[in-house]
Amino acid sequence: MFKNNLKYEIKLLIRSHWLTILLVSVLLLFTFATFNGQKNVEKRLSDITKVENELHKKDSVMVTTLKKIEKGEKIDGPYWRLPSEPMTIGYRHPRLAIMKPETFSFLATGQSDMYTHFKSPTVYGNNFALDYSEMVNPVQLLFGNFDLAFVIIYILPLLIIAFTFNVLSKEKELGTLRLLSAQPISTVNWVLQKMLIRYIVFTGVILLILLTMFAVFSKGIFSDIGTLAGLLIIISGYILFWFVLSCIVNIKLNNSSKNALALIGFWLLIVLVLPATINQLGSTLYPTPSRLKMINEIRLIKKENEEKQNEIMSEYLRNHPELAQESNQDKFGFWHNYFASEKVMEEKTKPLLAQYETQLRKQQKLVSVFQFLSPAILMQQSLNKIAGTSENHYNDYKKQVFEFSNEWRNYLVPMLFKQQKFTIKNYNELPQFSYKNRVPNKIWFSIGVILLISCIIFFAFIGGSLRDKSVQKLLN
Amino acid sequence: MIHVIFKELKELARDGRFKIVIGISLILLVIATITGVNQYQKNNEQYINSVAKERSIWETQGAKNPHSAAHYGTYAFKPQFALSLFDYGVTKYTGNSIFLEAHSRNEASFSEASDQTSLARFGTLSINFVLIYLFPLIIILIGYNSYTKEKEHQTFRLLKSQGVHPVKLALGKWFAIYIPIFCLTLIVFLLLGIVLSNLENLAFFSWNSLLILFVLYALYYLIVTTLTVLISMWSKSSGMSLVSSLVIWILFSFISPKVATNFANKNNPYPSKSEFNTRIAEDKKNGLDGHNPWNKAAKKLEEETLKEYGVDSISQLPFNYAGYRMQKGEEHEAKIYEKHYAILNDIAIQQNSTYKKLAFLSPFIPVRFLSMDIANTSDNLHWKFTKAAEEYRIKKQAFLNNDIKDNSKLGDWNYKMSAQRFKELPKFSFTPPKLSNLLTENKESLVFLGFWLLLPFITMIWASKKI
Amino acid sequence: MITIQNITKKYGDFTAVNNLSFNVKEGEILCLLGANGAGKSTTINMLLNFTNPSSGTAEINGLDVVKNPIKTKEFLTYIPENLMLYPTLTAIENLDYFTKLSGKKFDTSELQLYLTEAGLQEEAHNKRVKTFSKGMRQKVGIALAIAKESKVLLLDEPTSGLDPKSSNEFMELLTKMKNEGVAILMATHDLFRAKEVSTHIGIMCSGVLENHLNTPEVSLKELETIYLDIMNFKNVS
Repeated sequence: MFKNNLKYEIKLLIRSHWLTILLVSVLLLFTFATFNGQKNVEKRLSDITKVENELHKKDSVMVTTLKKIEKGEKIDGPYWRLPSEPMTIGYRHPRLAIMKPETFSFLATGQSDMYTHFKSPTVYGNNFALDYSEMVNPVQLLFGNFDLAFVIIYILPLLIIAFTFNVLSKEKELGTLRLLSAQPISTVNWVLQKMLIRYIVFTGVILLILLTMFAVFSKGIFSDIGTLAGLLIIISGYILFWFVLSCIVNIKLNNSSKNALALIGFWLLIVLVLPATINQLGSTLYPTPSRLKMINEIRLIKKENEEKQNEIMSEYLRNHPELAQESNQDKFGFWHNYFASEKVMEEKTKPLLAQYETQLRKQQKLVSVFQFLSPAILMQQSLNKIAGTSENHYNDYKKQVFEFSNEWRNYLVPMLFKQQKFTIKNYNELPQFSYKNRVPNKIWFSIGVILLISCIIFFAFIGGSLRDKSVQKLLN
Repeated sequence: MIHVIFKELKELARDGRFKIVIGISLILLVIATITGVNQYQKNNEQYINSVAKERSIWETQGAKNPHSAAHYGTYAFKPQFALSLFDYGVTKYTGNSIFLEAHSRNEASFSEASDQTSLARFGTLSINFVLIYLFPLIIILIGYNSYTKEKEHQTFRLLKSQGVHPVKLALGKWFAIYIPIFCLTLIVFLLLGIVLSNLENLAFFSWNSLLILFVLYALYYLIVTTLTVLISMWSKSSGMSLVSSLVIWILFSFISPKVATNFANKNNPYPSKSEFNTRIAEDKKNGLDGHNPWNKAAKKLEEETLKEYGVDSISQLPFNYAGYRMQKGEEHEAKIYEKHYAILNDIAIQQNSTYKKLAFLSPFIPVRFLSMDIANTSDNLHWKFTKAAEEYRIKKQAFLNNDIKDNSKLGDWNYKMSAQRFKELPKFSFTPPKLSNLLTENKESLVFLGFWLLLPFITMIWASKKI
Repeated sequence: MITIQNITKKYGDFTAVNNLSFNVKEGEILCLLGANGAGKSTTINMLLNFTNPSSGTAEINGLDVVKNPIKTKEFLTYIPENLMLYPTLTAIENLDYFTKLSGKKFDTSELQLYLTEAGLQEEAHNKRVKTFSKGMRQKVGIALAIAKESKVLLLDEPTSGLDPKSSNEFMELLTKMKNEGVAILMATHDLFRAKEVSTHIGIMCSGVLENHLNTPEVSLKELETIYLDIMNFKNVS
């Protein structure tokens, strides 16, 4: 029966022009989305190149000045602008901490439009509370990007709905179902076979076009076959979920317009209403403390700090005896004070800032629970993770920058207190930042989840129909 | 025509699906309102506290050198506008506070979205979310088969044979679809108004704005209704009509805005923050530096000042030259910021105009923009807020620098302004633009809405005679 | 071949078929006559297991249809009142599809032979079915019965809406199949056709088989009288 169904299903699809419509619309949507994704990555790269060039330019000026100083030439300007001072290097010539796009970044804009991809942590200043937001028109963030993730999460389900909502009901409404049911076959099996064939055709078309897009726009990703395979499988899994839903609706409701409405209802629920509601509930249940409050508190700490600076100073020196200078105390008084108060600021604000992280983590936990409820959420999370644009990636980037800023400080501050001058040699051995993607994408887990969800709803809702050989329910 | 309306409404009232959909929408509206009010009150309380606390921090900083105070700075906080609980607009993506310090103009920092999971990018359930995304679907649900059902049940021939005027029939059906949604919207806005006017500490609430919002959404629903009827007229079957209407809905509310984003970004890209800062630093380097007397422009200023007062050295000036130079430096820097932010603002305006021009693809876009603007949660408002904050910063800097200039002696870096004088700095206050100004600013969007109202309607009247 | 014993079908309080029994042997045509709602179609639906009887049994080729819903369908062909086929497929393709679903496999020339045997002109064989009249579609149905070598043919109002010529042709086909040993059950309200083609006639009213006649034993006139008497009697009471 399968071979026969396969042959005629494809014949019917071709004759009804469905395949053509599908092919054309998918091709258009995917081309535009991949193109956009690629453009976004290019913009990100070009921004990175711009700041890198800027740094090179600044560096070469700095190196020239350094050379002059080393030769003993006199330089015009205040001493605190001379690159031979470690603090000048530390504050005015910071290194770039760049977050380069991943191979799959074009897939999903994720949070990449909100955050900056390069930061220059300085030797002093609030490195622990840096603002990573990028300059962007907020309307763009509100409306979002037309990227592959959007097409896959929002549009594919709609195409599936249009492609399958009346597989069975059409036969009933046309009248062929009575003739079919009078044949010695299990009608439920017959419907499922039709669905399976459509699933194979649909997924085949999508994956083929997707691979074509990748080959045209982003050949690089073929080097990471593991992730690519995971990506293709999770997309197939998401498509499967919607096919299973459509199967259930087809068999249970079996009326074209009711089917369409029910499926659209599910789409709205899963793609739009659930995520929006969960998000709203998440921020109500686990509200991040107001940033305004944080500002107030940090300001109060700062104020207290200034008042208590002298006390703090000795405390700090007790912690860092290697920095205590026997002579020249006056000369370095300023820096000691400064670093000491920064240190205290950092210590005192740590619990404050930690609140944001814990609340965010709680929200994330809520999301990871609810992704079992809405595969759209699961898909968004997975695609962002594959693309390296999830909030986890940006949080980790922040952490890496923070770690680097410590490294930077630890390199320069001792120089200051040991009264060393900064030289060309130091320049060549400055710590460099390199971003590592340390967030596991857990794609196989997500694939497992989406297949499990599909199986559970399949057997829960049409397991019974599978055993029932009569066609009575389908005909009425 | 009245008969047609009654008949359609009767059919609708008997449709179980309609009741379910209305029920779900109302539940969502209730959730949205409760969480919205809740958040609003919390945020507003926070805002009021923060303003008070920050002011007291400023006022109680004790005797201090004015320039230290300038570096210590203060904050400008964005008020929580009453209607922000109706439409969150872009507030999630813009910060609520700006640090006002010496020498630099800061961006509003800490957007809410960066403290939330990426789920926020799906959108947030708010009253406006239900009204702008879900209500049009109710219209589609009511109206998609208004004509096709008559065709399918073959009652259309019967109707025609009764001699009903086709235009009257079309208008009857059109009204019948529109009336339920209009009533529903009216109730939602009335209740919202009542809820809002019973809240305490509400900032800048006006019934007028709410009324305009109501009219705006009512107009949007009119457009959707007309299109739904039109599609139903032209469709061969209810299924096709439903699918076509939904495709239009998705095009309007999802695809067009996103496509517009990509166009806007491609045509008028924003600079990255660091690029922007580099450009400013570049300009600053060549200009007057209030701290650095070796700077070329600073030397020039010195010469000019000496000449103007007819003295040979700065110590002979009737005021503290250091304070004067600092203020001049500040003014110069402020000008640089103004220039660069003007460029940035221009890009934003260009981008938004790309969005608004794409309104010919989707009436959703002008409605979205107008709704944000009226609710005071738009990009537009945020720009106004940052500009006001900058003006205040400049005033604050002048206040402090002039104090050095007038009350201290040259070279006296230990000078301290009296603790009392900090209180003399006026408070920062920000009032949102007037409703009428907002509407004039959105002329373009209003014109597009007008077209969207008229063209489909005329087409509908014309098409009704053809079938 | 078709055996129905004491079958009853109730929908809530309403009894659609009440304690019905009959059988149709090979080479017999039983016409069920009756007004709309007399229970004719319900009887056929029960034989197809489209609906379950409330009590009693229905058998096809000795097999209970409720217990063997799929197996029994191997022996029968059903032609609904308005037989619908896939409009975008040709007659041959439709026939190919349905025969394969029944587990049979034929090559194109054999399928053409069956279509010809069922009376469909050759130029229509490769035309898409969307242009076909009801009569033409029914011929494809008959071709399916021939191809499946069905022992049982179930027909629901086959002649309604057919023009007299097509109707006549269809009756000839039925006679031919009867002579080949097929058991045919036909629901109709066309007395004239029933008298012409059947071997037995059952008159149904309100779910009850009021009369079971051997067709050759009655004339058309007598049949009409009996039929009308039953209808009038029922209406009065």
